[in-house]
Formats: sequence, structure tokens, C-alpha cells
Amino acid sequence: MALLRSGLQRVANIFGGTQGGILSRFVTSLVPSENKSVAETSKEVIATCNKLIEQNASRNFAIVHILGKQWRVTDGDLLVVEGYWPPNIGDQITLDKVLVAATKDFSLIGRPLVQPGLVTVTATIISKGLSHTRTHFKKKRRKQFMRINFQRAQQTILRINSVEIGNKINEGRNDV
Amino acid sequence: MVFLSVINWARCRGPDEFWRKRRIFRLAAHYIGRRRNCYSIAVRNVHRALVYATKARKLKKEDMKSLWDVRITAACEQHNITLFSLREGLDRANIMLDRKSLSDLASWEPKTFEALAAVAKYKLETDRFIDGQDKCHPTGINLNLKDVMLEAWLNEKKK
Repeated sequence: MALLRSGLQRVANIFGGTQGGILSRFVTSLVPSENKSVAETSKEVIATCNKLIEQNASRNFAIVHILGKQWRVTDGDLLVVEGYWPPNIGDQITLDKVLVAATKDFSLIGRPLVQPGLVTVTATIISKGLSHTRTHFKKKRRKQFMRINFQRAQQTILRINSVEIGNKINEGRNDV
Repeated sequence: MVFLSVINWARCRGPDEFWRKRRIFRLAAHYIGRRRNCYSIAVRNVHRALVYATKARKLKKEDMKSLWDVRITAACEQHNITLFSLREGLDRANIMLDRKSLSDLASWEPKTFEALAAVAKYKLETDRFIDGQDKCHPTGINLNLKDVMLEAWLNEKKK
């Protein structure tokens, strides 16, 4: 199924399938004709998207889900993830829970996640340590009630090495 | 003569009073006037500062949440949809982007946001969902929904 905007020349494409269907928003210079059927236009859009992926013209970004939080991520980003997270320093990791992946020309929106083989986000763990000391101080005035506690959370710093979109739109559907 | 008991009359109020007070003075070093030099005044102000810092950690999260909401609402208005409708439509279409990501896309990826708004709106229309608040005058440009052909995709049952 395709979403065509003739005025704005933008196409958002939705791929049917199981839970892992993706939606892509696509800027095209083709003047879309409304005479074609939906299946044809969506095939066209998929083909153009695949071509754009091959050209690899621009930097890609992805919205990734780590430890309950969502981060917008590109190549060369530094991320500080707070909380208990097993990976050790020096580990090379792929971040698999990708919600949205996009380039300059089109974007893939996952429902809720993009298909597993499609987008690869690689990262390296740079450091693991503790946050600064947070002082939790409670006081009730005139009631002789005062409590002080200190807390430091574990923090992991990640460097995102690359965000790559594979050339596999419309191949191999996996259940997410 | 040897004075042995004189020394017993000397009183030490507390051997580490200096260091106890120093903990407070270090936190008050950037205050103005007597607040940084006189202990009784400094203590009160340091305690207040710590209490504010503790409470603010919660408030910061609330502030960020409302900031994100404002930004998403602003972007929605440009596409003539309410925040409520957007969230409802995206939830029904099983797109789980949180406030932070949506506001990020709204600020920096306008075209992606437009596509998301169109999906939400179309989904609500297919579901025949009526939002009572949408009766207000249109503020932005109407999305071109007649080319949206999402039925098969959006109607898929999640397994």
C-alpha cells in the first residue's frame, strides 16, 4: 500500500506482512500517476528505495530502543545509558530494537520495530562507571526530621560506529 | 611546680567540629555574604539548597515531558491534527514512539512527522473514531489523505 502525495511529491510506503511491517516515507521526483494500481506503485517505491539504499548518498539515522529509553542515533554519536546493563567495555554490539530508520530521502517506520535484518546499528562500549553522587536530602522544618542518602547509578558510554540500511526491503519477512 | 589538674579543666566541645562545619562551608562556598562564612546562617541555606535539588530531579522530568508535548502539539497543528488524535492513531497502528522521539522528529524531521500524522489520521478515519476536541477550526494544512491506501496494512491483525 502506498501513500502518494502528488502535490508534495512524497511517498510513504507501507509494507504488508506480519507484525514486522514497515512504513517508509520517500521523497520522489517522479510525478506519481494515479492510474496505476496500489500494488504497482508500492513495487515502484520499493524499487526506488532499494536503489537509493545502494547509492548510499547520505548519513542515516535510526531511533533505537535501549534499556527502556529511545535514542535518536547516527554514526559517531556518544550515548550515556544509565542503569544496570551487562555488556562490558570493548564489546562490539548491534542494537537490534530499531523503531525508525531514515536517510535524507526516505524513512522506514517500524510497527513497532523494523524487520530484524534490515537495519544494522553497530556500537562499541567505551566505558562503564558510576554517575556523580546524587544527594537525596529530606528535611521537615521545626520537626527534627532530617535524612540524607547518597546514590550513584551505573552508567555505560557507547560510541555508535555505523547505522546501515541493508538492501533488503521486501525480502524475507521475519516475525518481530 | 607541676600543674596536673589544670589540663583537666579545659573543655573540648567536640573534636571534629571543624570538619563537620567544613562539610557545610564547602557546599556554601559560592554564596554571598555571611551565608558563606557564618555557620548557623550557612547551614539553613545549604539545607534548603539540598532539598530543592532533590525535588528538582522529579520536576525536571515533568518539565521535559511538557516541553516535548508542546513541541509535538505545535507540529500537529501544522498538519491539522490534535495531539490526542495523533497518539491514538499511532497507538492503534502499533507505532511505539515515545514523546522524546516524536518531538525530535517533529523538530528535525518534518517530512517523517508528516507521514506519521497522516498514518494516524487515516487509521482513525478507518476505525471511525471521533475525537470530541477536533471540532475546533482547522489551524494547519489538511493532509492529503485520499492517496493514503493503508487499509490492508493497517487492518492486519497482530498475531
